Amino acid sequence: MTRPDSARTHFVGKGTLPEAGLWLREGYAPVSDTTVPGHPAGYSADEGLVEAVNTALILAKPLLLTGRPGTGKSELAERISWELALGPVLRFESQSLTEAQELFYRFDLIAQMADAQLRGDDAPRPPEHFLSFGALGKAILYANPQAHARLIEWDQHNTRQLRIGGGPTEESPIAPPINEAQRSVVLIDEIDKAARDVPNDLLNGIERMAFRIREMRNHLVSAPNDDTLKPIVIITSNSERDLPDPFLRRCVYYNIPDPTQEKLAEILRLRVPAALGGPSGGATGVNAIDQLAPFYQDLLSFFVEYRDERAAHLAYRPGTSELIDWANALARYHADPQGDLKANAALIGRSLGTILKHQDDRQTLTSKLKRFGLALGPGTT
Amino acid sequence: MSPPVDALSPGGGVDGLIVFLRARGFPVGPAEAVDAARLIAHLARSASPSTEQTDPAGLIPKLRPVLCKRQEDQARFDALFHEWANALRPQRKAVADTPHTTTTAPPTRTSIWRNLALLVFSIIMVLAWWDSRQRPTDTPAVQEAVKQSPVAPTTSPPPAPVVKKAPPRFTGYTPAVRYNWELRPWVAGALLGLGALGLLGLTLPLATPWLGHARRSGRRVPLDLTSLREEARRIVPPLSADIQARLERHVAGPATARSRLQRRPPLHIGRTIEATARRLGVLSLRHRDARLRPSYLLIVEVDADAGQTPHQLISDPRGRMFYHWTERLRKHGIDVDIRLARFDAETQTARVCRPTGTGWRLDGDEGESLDRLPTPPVGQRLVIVSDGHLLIDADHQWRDWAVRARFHRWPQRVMFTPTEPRHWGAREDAIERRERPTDPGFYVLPLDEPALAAWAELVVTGRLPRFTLSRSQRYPARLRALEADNRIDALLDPDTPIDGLAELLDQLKYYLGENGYYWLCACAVPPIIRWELTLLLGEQYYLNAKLPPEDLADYIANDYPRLAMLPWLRRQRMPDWLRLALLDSLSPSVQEEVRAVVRNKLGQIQLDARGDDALSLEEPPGPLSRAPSTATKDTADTLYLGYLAGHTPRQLMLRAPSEWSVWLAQLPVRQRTGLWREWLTAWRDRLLWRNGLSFYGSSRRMLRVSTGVLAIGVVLSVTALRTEPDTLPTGARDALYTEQGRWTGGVQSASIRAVAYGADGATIISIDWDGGQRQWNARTGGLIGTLLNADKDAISTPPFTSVAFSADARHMATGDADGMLRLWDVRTGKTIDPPIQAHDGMVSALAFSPDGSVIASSGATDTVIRQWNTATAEAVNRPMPPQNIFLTSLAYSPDGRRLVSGSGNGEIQLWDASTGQAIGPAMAGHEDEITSVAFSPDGAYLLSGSNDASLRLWDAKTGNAVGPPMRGHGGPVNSLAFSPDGAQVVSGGADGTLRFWTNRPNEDAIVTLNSTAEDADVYQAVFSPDGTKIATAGKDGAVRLWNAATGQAIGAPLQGHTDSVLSVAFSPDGSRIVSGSWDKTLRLWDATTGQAIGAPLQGHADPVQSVAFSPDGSRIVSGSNDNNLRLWDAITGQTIGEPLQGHSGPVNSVAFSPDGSRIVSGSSDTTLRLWRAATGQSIGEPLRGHSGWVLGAAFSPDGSRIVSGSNDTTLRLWDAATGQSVGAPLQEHSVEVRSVAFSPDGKRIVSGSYDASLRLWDAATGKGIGQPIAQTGRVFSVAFSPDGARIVSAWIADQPVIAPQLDQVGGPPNNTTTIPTPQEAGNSNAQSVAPPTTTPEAPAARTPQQKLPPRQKQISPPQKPQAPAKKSHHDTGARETFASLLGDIIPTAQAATPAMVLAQNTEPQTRQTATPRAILEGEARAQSSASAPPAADAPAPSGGVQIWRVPPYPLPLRPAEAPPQLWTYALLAALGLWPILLIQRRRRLARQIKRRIAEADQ
Repeated sequence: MTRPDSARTHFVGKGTLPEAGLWLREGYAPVSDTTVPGHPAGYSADEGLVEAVNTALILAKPLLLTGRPGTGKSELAERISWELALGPVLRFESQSLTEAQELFYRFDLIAQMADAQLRGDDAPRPPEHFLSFGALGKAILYANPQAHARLIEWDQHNTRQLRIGGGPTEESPIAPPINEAQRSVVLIDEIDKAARDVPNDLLNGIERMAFRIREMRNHLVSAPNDDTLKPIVIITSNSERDLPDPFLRRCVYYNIPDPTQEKLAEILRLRVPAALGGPSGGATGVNAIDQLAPFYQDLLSFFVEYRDERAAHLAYRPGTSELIDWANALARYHADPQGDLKANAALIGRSLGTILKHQDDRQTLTSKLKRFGLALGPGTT
Repeated sequence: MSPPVDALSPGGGVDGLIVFLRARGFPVGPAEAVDAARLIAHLARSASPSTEQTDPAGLIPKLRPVLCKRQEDQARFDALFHEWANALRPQRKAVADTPHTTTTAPPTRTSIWRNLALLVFSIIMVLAWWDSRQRPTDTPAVQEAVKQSPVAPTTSPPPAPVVKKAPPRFTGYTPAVRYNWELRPWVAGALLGLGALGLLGLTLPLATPWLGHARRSGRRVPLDLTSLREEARRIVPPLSADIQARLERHVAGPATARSRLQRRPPLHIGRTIEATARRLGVLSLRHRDARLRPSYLLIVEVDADAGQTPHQLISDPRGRMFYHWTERLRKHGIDVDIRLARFDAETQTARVCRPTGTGWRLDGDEGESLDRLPTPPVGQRLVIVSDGHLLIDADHQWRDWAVRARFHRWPQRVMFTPTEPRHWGAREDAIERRERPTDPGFYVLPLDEPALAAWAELVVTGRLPRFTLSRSQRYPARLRALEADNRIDALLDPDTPIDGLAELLDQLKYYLGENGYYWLCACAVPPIIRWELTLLLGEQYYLNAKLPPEDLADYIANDYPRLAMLPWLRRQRMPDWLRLALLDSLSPSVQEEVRAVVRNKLGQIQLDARGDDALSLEEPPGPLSRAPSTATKDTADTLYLGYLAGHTPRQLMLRAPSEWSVWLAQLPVRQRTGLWREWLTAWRDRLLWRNGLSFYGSSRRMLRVSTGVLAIGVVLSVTALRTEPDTLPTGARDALYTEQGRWTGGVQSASIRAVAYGADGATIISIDWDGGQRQWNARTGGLIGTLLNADKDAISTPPFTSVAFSADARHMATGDADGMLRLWDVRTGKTIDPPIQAHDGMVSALAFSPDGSVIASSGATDTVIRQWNTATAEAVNRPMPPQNIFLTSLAYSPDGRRLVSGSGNGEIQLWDASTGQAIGPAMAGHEDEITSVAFSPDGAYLLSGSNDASLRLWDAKTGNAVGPPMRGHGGPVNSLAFSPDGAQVVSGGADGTLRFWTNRPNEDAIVTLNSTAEDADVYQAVFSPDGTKIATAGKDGAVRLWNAATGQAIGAPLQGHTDSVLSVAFSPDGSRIVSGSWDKTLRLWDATTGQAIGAPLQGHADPVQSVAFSPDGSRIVSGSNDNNLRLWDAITGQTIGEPLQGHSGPVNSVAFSPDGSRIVSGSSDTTLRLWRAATGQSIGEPLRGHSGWVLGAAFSPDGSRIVSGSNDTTLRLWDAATGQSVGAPLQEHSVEVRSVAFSPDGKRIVSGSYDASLRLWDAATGKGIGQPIAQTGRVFSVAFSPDGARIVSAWIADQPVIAPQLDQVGGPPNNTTTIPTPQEAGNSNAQSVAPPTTTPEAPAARTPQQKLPPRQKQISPPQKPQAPAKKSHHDTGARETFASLLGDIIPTAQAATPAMVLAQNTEPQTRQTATPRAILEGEARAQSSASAPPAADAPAPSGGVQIWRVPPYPLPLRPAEAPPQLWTYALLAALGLWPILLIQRRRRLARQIKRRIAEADQ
């Protein structure tokens, strides 16, 4: 459980960093092998994003990311966490019924009542027993362990209980030494899915990095007044609706553009090992596209054309993740990496479901495929 | 948080950025601002200054997340940031250097300029490319041929190798003279036209305020049919929009409640009476003056068939009325003759009888025939009471008797008709038809009850009838009041509404009735009022009202008279305020109806491009149209009366008043021929309507267009006038300009008929069409004169049709129209032999054989070539066969074996002269008749001139054209000739010009004299009088002779002088040479043998600077550094008289006047002096003016002027008689002028200067000609060749510079080659020169030290001269002066030039006598020789002598070269101001109108 002491403060955003530590995930064992699929080492941020992250770090402000699905918003959090050697990413997935308070904590009032019913008045369990912390609440808690040692204990206790039916796990990777302040990355995913007032409700908590637990007589939980320890909050939005201005004002904003073909090639190279095998082999320093096998090169260009040229007409625009899925699917189908699209026409037809998410787009896709020399048979979806 | 840190400084900081962003509307809240500041502060803290932070562009990705909150904002933020950073950049030069700054600058406004620059650049490139394509290409085959071309017979040797420049490539002949370029007429015309068009466009609006006034007042605006509808549309909607609301208020009561039409009585009696009274002169009843009293003849028709008796007639009210009328008039003493008339249908005659005392008798045959009425007394008026049946038959023709009655004898006649006229139709037309052009015709008046009653009233009471009766009482009281006060003009004032407008409108409504009022309103909609238009609108109005067409006339006749009484309609103008008020008073629906009337009517008119026939009756011609107050009265009455007669408006139009009749007679013609005129009128009117009058919209566009056109015209004109045509691309120049050649020798008035070179090639003889002969200088083109003995009349009578010169130009042959061939001696102008009858018809072509023994001739009719022996006048050889076209020119080949002919169809044919066989095919290429052909002297080429204004060169062997056509003549080429050496061609054209063509390209330097190191430095070079030789005065002490043509030395150098020769001169006959030397002596030499003549001429105490022969060769004058001149006997070598004393400084230049009587000398005392050559006395005062040493002086060839060159860098011209300076100094040289010379014709001056250039000047204007000719060293001497065609110049090299500057002589020698600019050198020299007054006063007493110029005094002792022994022989003071003169101007040149060093090395003697300066230089050289390479190794350092061709004479100044006068600019400025003034004036007017309308509304 040794973590590098040299707390990095500058975000690089791409490449494998030798000094970076393990990849921590909540509930998973630390990963040191950077070739594991989904490892942040394979993530690559563009320059604007890097600057935005750094700006957010400097200003200790939440970073609001927009961009179309599949542009790697969520992966960014993992990357930051890994690169800066922070704790596991604490995720908070917004849902339509999400309340702002859930980001900090939840109090199981029903359990308490049931408990009181069962136990009677003699030995009521402390309210901490019914407390479970949300992602941001947990991050604040761990950032200031000295002040909240008891709450942390309880939290760990509750977590163990929740995980394995009440029994503690010996090797809980997430249990840091209590006295060591730990910074975390909090990912608030797709905040635009939450109710309209959620962002507003979050404002003060996010700004001050503090919250009060009403059930514990307004016990104040706050992060230390040290910017280097404050949780790093990444908020993603799919731009499904406009966020309120006061919320925007408290955020650092960046819109992740659609990845270029080059970038996609780079991503494919990292994420789909089977796609490698281009003319230049695996040599580094050359064009990422050239490193791909011919088939995947063609696939990539087809994908980009399909994605960009008819963008306005597409009911659903596939994103990067679709491409990765598609390539992976094809790889698993054992597509011939040295052949062209035509050679693998049957496989493509079988795997189209990865990018074709809307029936209206079928016509577009078919005609596009035709232009690439592919004629889909009937019923290939 | 932390306050904003100025981390972006220098240059505004982050808050500056925030302010900037906010100013551009980019939302930045305080939180963002604080964040940004924090971020910047952090960056500033955390890192050392790296490019990322100093470069603003690097901040974008950092600041963007903070300041942008939306995806759309990002791009905008980037652009704004770049803008901000760019604005900051000038303040941040250090930052600007970083490479990132230029990454993605957003497009700014500069791109426009960039595009513009690109456009201009591309245009230039296209032009350049075009230009390159226009250049002719060489023909390699020709180069071969030129080598065979023989040299001139007079100039002996072949081209010498010494001619350093490569021989020019032969590309045919090119113009030897540059002519003036003048704009082609169409270009000039187009420029003028553009300017005029623009001016016109600008001037039209100037007139529009007045026209606008006229339009608003309703005057002088013709009906522009094509624009009426547009204009109506423009006028109507604003009115409705503006006024509609008020209309609602003003119009009371529902419009539907009003009855639309009412039946009205058909006649307007009041108007009838008024008109009749005025026309028939009843008014004159008031006058008692007999002369004015009219008499009346009253003829009353009685209907005999109806049994009418006179008594019945009298008892009839009608008859009674006439009876009363007669009685009353008679009571006033007016003679009234009453007759009764009866028409007899059987006899077709009418008879009249007088009433008897008791009654009327009208029996069968009694009474006289109507057609025998006596001639009326003057002024009698005819009144007929009849229904017209009396005069007109059923076919509406005048009855015979009526024609015989000659009614036109009564100029004023009227017919009262008892029945309604409208039922008459054509009959009335016939009655009213005039019989003669000047005859007004009958007036037809109704004789119905009311009219007669009114008439009776007039007759009975004698008062002018105010009896429009009840209706006149409804006439608007306001109008009546104003009319009574004669203030009708107030109603017509276009600008000022009258008081009580609302009251007037009420009265109008009451007076006109509803229909009439609406009609008036309809008339108010269009901006013009015309009778015809009024009627048409009324017609349309009633038609719109669904009135039965058959009743139309009645209704119109009811309303129209009252309408016609209104002053506005009578004057045909309606002010705008009334228009608005009238429309204002209508309810919207009615207003719409009224407008529909106008729309319908005028819309129909618009459909027809030619317009309605009726409406084309626009302006009655003549003065009446200018005076509507009088004319409209009659017009209105006439039309009204026509209306009473029941005519439709269209008919009415055709029944014009008598005043229009003349014009009407022309109408059909006008309509036939006036199409384009009408179009023009319409165009003009539209222009005025829209742009000048309407005060809206497109006027500004038109102004802009006009201004643009004018500006373009002006710019093009100025450009065209100021552009040097030579700088244009060839193609453009030829397209825009035409060459205009005029010789300075005199503008030819006549077309030149023939030209020929003299035998020596130096002169040209030309003969004009009128027989005048002239002689020209072949080199300069100058006119030598007319041939004195030429008998002009003898040559020109009978007029010759062809002319030819013999090869030596001594004889001339002419052929005339009679086929006679005459020979002439050119010099005497006499015929030599009796004429030869050569041909039957006109002699069309003539040619001399080369030896002059044979003449070939061809006739225009027989087209046969015959050859004649000039001596025997007999035919030789056989005549050549006739051609199919007459020959226009003939020429023999140089060997006489071939003959070439040019024909009228532009073809050239070669013939064997002896056999008459054609050689080869015909050469075709000319586009018009050949006028002249010639063989080149070597026979290899043919040259042809043609009527197509071009010359062409042909290869005589192959028949191919060589090179492009030689163009330049402004008209047909009449004649041409090769110079004997073939190098030049002269052509004479119908444009009166001689043109010279050369096969040499323009190279100025033609010969460089062979120069070795020894003879390189030459102080003076002069031409021999015959121009063939050149004598040079060498620095090495030798005089050399050179062949001026080849540049080769002639014989050995003339040795004898012991020091440098400074000056040399030929005797006028060229046999002897005199030279003046540094060794204080002069020497005479035999120019042919090179032997010295006699002993050196000793007498001067100091070096002889300048020598000159007197024009008669008997004397020599010399000027010396001893301040004196001396005269010498050229034969004996003895001095003549005493030295000519007067100068206080060395005499640098002497010259004889051309007549030998005077001598001019220029001296270092800054003055020139004139001396009497015979006595040696000084003439007048010294010529003062120069501020420096006078180095050169020369007389003009006519002796009237003197030119001098000075080291004050200027030349001056002096009047030789008065000694006054003429004009301003000629100042273009940068340092001192060493030598000057007049050209032999006195028109040019050449000067040579130490600034290493020659300069040609126009002697008349003092302006430089062309570019200076650059030399490689200081020019010491210049001289014209005797023929003025060449210049010889001598210079001394001053490069490379080896020695240090004089100031540094004491220091270590230094090899740097810093060369001061000539200006610097000149300045330093000017400073270094001692004031003239301090120069030698007592030469003998001077020491070198004292005589050194100030700068030289600084020389340290080691630099003292090293040859004291030799030096003692000289007056070192004067020598110093000369030394400084030699080396002064360029301090760096004071080191030994290599040539000098060489002289020292090779000729010790010379070295010993070298100037102190040279010794100094030698020493410096010696000091530096250790380190510097030997001078002999220096690359080609030398002076030299070169001969230059004098550029041909430029032509008289083009007029355009005169700078534009001030008034031109003033005019342009005024033109530019016009539009502004106009716009302002129009705006003011528009404001006034609006204000007044607003007032009127209230």
